[in-house]
Amino acid sequence: MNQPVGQNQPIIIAADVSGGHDGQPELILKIRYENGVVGDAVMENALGVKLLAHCGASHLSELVGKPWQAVIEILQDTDRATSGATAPCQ
Amino acid sequence: MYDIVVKNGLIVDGSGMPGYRSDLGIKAGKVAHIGRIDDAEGGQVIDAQGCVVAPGFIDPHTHFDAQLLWDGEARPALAHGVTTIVPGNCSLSLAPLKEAHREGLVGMFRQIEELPKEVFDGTAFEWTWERFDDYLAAIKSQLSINVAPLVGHSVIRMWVMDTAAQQRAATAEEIEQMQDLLRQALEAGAVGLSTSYVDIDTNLYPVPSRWAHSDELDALAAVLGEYGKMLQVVPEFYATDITIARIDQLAELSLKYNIPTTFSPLFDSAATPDNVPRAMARVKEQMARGARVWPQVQTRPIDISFCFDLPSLFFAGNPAWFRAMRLPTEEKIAFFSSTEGRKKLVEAAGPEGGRGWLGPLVIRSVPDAGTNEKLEGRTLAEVADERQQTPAECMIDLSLQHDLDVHFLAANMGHNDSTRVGPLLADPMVHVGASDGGAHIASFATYGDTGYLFSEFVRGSGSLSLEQAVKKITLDTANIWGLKGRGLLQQGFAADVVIFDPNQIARGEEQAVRDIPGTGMRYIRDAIGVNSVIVNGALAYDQTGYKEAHTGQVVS
Repeated sequence: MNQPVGQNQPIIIAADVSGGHDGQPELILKIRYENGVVGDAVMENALGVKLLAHCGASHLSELVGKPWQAVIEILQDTDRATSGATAPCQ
Repeated sequence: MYDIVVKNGLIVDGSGMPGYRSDLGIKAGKVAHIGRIDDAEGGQVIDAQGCVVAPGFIDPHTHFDAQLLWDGEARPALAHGVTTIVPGNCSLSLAPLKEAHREGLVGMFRQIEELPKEVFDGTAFEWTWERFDDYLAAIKSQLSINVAPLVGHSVIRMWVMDTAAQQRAATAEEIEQMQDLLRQALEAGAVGLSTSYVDIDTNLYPVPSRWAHSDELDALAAVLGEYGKMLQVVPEFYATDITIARIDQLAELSLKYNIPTTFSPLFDSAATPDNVPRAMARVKEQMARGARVWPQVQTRPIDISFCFDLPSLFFAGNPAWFRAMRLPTEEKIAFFSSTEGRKKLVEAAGPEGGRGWLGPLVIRSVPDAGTNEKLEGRTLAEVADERQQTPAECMIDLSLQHDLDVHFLAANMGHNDSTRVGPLLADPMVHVGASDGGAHIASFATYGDTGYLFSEFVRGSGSLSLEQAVKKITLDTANIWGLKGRGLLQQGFAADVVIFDPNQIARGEEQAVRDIPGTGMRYIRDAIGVNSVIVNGALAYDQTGYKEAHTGQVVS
């Protein structure tokens, strides 16, 4: 999580909120991978809120530039992410 | 002599051809004649002056499986002109089901449909079946709407594998048993098999179908091929690349076993504008090969709802509000209650205390609705004006007054750009559906998509002509699903008919009602502009109400 963000890891390059199939908001992330390919990732409401907390972000725009590793971490340890008090993403 | 004569209407017969003025004679459940008919020749005469006379609408994606056990009209679907529904989607049907597996399946149904638990505890119906044909027998006697049932992959898996259905892949012997069960269901009247790669049970655990390996689905598709029946799939719709892979997988099964397949949902989003074009491009590639892979696209936009109790991404564009929403409950209440906190939030809400941002939100539900009904369904701006507050102040006060349990709705948060959705719906390779009727009942209304098709995309954007729109939800649907003798107003076809005012047909406002057994509630939308609905030759609904015609059939 504390590794510097560079060209050797996927990063979030855009974030938006959209309505999901089940009537809940979803976080839509645009990810740029190491090889330059850009793809989307969709996170349901609770996980999206956790990601923002984990990254110390209070606004979608603050996710831009964060490493994809942040998403991996909250998926692996949602309890830790819930607190939002652990190491913020770089 | 006819049983019913519909006079003076504009016949839009479902074929897509231009409408024409004529009369329609119905006898013995069938369309008997289209042409000039004297009043004297009709037992019952319906004057359709100024109205369209069309085949009854067919809704190919519903979850009315449980509701049909106490409501054979699938209210309010019938009132919207829907005369045939397809339940059993997303891998879940109520049969075949061993008694021992009921609790597990109920958890899955409750997760999707949001029906209260007591509905399944004997309040609403008695469990009288295990086998698929016995379930159909349980609903048949009171049907006033036609039912084209899917059988669910998850329940077939549970029957054969018991608890292992949510633990592992099936053995060859177990797959053979599943094939036999599927054959039995198809023989009993199922129109196909549904499966899902997305759904979860009440413990947030993947439903049984998601544990199947591809050889299992292949074997089940082989059985569908014996009967030429449908495979319905919920792909990983949130990930376009995976959806495209599923389109390829369905295409291979379609070609290998000569079966139709359909997947749902496919919806548009401004946040991911390339998704639908990419998926449709692959659909068209596969259709060009001769595969049948029908993407289901809903007509209605996506609304979202939230309350102050749980943090919602709705606020993620406003740092002050989002930070406040993430506070622990007690701190949150203290912050909202404090003069300083309240001032900060009102300022952060934007001009006029959030008139533009929060004002359009609709108050969906208030816990003690009996004394606050005048709030539900109204916008925050309306209520705020009445209270001489800003929308932000009003929202905070309402939430504090009701322990943060007031729910608000933000409309049109996805699939809401009619300049994109309209042409998509008009695409000949798009199957209009995915209403989810009878599901998500405590979250949003899944009824009235047909009315919305006409109000928004025929009268509004003009993306479809009246005739094209009718065809999309009648003959096209019947053809895609192989429902013989339906979807067209032609002599000898089933007399499923909807008579509606083309200048009025629409969906009503969303409203909360408490009309399901037990203590639960649901959101519905009333029909607007639908004058009469005929099912298999009997009047099933008109503007005086439901008729309990009991002429619905299991169709396949």
